[in-house]
Amino acid sequence: MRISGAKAVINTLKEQGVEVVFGYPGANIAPLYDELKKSGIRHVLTRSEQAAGHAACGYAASGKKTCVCFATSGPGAVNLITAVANASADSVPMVIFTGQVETGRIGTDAFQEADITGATMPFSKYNFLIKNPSDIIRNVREAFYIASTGRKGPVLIDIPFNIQTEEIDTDDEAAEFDLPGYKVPGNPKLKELNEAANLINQASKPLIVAGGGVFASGAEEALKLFMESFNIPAVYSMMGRGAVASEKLNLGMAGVYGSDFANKAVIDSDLLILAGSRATERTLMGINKKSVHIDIDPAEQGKNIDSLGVTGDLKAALNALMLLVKRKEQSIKKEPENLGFHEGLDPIYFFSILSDNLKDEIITADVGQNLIWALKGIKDSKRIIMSGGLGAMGFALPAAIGAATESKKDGVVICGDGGFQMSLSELATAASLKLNLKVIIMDNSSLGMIRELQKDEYNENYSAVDLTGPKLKYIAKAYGASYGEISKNEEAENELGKMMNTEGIYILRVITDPDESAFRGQHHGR
Amino acid sequence: MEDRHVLAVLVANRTGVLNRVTGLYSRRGFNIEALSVGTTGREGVSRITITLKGDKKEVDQITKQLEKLVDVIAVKELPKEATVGREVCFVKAAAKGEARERLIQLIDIFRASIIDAASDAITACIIGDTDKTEAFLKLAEPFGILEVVRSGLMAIERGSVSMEEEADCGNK
Repeated sequence: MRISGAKAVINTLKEQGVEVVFGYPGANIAPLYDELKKSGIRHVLTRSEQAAGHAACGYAASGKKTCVCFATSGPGAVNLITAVANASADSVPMVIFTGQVETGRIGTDAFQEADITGATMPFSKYNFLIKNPSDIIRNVREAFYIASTGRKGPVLIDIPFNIQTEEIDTDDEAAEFDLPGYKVPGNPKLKELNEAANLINQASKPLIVAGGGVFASGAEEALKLFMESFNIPAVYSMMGRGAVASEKLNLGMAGVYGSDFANKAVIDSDLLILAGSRATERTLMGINKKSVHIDIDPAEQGKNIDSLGVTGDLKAALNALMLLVKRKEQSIKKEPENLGFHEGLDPIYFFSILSDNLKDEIITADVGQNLIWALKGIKDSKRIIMSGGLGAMGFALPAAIGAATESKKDGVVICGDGGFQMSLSELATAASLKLNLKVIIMDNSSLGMIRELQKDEYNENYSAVDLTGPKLKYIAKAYGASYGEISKNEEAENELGKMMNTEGIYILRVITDPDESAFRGQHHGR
Repeated sequence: MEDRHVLAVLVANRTGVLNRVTGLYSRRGFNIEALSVGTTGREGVSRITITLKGDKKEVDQITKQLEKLVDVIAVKELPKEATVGREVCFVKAAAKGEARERLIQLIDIFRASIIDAASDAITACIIGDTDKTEAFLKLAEPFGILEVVRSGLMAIERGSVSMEEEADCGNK
């Protein structure tokens, strides 16, 4: 049977089990949109391509599926770049389709032409520019395979307009994968496991550092079992928040924004067991001690910290180590962080009350002071979906849309007035999808994180951080959302109760002092 | 300790593969001295020889980052004692009057050849390992070097060891 290239793409998406596409149409991707409409695959139209990418990330993070987004050539594709870089930094399985000008016009600086494969090369796991329609089916299958295996990541497919419209013969059996250089790490090697077990057994104070890889591997239960069987405690990186299911052995978040207690545990330990963590400067500032590094990406081992590497799937590695490790007899005393709430509106107090009100909502957060307060106030066991590695503003709202699309759960969006203004157009997307989103805006009328940096390190020379925003009450009204605002600790309980019990979109403005700190005496982490 | 290392890299011959490899060293700050590329005896497979300076940790990291690239089939650090390497170097030097004679003598001593001669300049072609090329360049410097073109090192292991066989890639 002869079908168009566009139909071949959509057929292959169905074959891969794709249920939702996030995207934004344009002329050079019109053939794909034409077939998408006929296919029954759902499309979520965001209000910008970047939001489509972030929504897709939220979708992938809240489930186990590879997410898909569409954008047109030139500006559409370029608008997606932040989301692709974010997916790369946080190892999100994502397949991106971009339209491209006709093959004959590539390289002529044609209207809406941009070299998106060239531009995304440094921060995509792989990318394709399809120049031959007969490669379509194979390349799309390869893209899903690459995105979802090994260390997951974004794979971009750029398809020129004429390749979408040309016909291919589906009777030609699509060729086998042609990826001679692509290697997926298998199960961890016994030699590495034995060496790791020896180090763990010799150590008297081993400590696990749990990262985002715990989620990627689906190793939450395996980690809990490992910790509790051998009495080995854990700290977590920001990306590993919510991954440590053992309450009594969870010592909290380590790193620049972590607790003193967790950081002291890192310093006092005599062996670190890095479990799906990159050991970045943010988590282990200047720490270089004996380590076992379990990661599916061998390039992470020895990159930031010297270590004995165990390469492979974390869950498989932990399960195998169950047979090799001996129980530690050590007493572990947890000290709760003494946060000392202050009068007026204490953001950490606010988030602790929110924490008490949470059920099974999916929480997303933007980068900035709001995230740090949320991390300190909301209980350890709750995962927060964030832009961890890239630290992109304007992520939380679109990500919540994607997460709600996948999970059908309510969403709690945490952002500052800066991040909110970068993404507020997505309120229309959320409203049109009739989602239940609680949008919490920590409003200090300034870019708080940078303001705090300028206060502490630039002699209070406040440069470009005063942020005049719209009247949020009217924004809520314009988008058909409910609205509330608080400026005192005493109002938190009532307002949050009201918010959690209201359907649809709820905008809660939390008025905070611009001088409110995220660090409370700690150092800035840049 | 900073040392010279030679990496042989077999890659699937795809659009952009060289960009992906070279992109790594600008992005990750690897200190690469030279690079040469060409096809191999296998269909669809090219070989890149990378000469770099660095300590063991840096070489391990660049090896892993290369291996991570989807189009890279195999990476091998070639053992110093069991590897032969050659590069081609063209050197154009000023050659007037009495200096001309001495330059020709130097070219003879290095078993290099003259590939072009003009009334005021001579171009020599040296084929050898990197040390030989650099020794020649040092001695030629006083003559006034006008231009140097180097191919970058190509290297292959001694004996019957075959990286292509080990990687089992492409069709012969």
